[in-house]
Amino acid sequence: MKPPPNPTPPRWLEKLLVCALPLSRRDDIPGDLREEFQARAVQGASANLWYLRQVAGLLGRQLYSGGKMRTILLTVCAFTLLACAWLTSMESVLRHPGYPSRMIQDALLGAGSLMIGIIVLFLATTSWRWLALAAALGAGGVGVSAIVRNAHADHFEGFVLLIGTAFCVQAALALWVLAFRPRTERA
Amino acid sequence: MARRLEGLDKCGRSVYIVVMAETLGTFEQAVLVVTLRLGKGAYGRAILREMGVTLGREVAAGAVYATLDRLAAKSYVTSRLGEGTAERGGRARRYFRVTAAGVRALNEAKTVLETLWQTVSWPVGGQA
Repeated sequence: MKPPPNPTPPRWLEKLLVCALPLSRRDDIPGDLREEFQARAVQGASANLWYLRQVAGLLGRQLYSGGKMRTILLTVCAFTLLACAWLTSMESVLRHPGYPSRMIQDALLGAGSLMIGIIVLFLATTSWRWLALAAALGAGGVGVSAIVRNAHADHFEGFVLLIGTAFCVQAALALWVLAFRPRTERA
Repeated sequence: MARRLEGLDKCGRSVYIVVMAETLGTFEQAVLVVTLRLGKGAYGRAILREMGVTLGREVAAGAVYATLDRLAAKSYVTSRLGEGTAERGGRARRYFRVTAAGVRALNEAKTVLETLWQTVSWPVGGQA
């Protein structure tokens, strides 16, 4: 079957690429890749796979670019997301009194970490960053309160200290990356 | 460059060579050479294609763009946005040009490598 006369890369992949790129490169890089995609598609090569590989490569580089703080924030977000998933599943298994409300709280915190990560990755220059910052500060507050309550509790739980500290670090890093970092660096 | 090396002992020469080689990596040199060769037609996709042909393997677009960004940060290349075309979905091309500093760095890197290879006989023998 002949490819269409003007083949274009998958729209969702192109949009994902545009979102992930810094503002100054959102025109030329997707344009270059589209041009190359068309050339490959016309030649009958596996253009979709090539395009997917290039976008994945650029996204990977984007993860580790934009400063160490951003990379650390994304790592902490991944950690808190996993920690919340673990806490939620443990609550559902152990079923201590009052577990449904704690499960909801853990799930919300996890969703918040996921949202912060996505906004830092793709929407850090938009006004969505204020929502991410609010979520990070809120989660940081929950972290501080958990650490304080844990310190005064009869049984000290190490994992509460660890996860609570992670939320505090996440809030501090989000404040740095989303509010104080120079705009040129974010772009 | 060669004159600067003449004044150094063997150890100093090795240190200088290592330091200079680190200022411009092999991939950076390849991108600079390709950009020079393409001249006025040096935009992202053309560089990507030419890099693939020159190196004889497929080159990741991300690697080329990251290298170009690094070279721009070192002021070895400059860029300007050109016109958009229909086949690019109206998106503009970014044309790159090697600066005088880039040419100088490229010449220096070549001299360093040539000097480095003059210190051993070719093909290198194996003590390993």
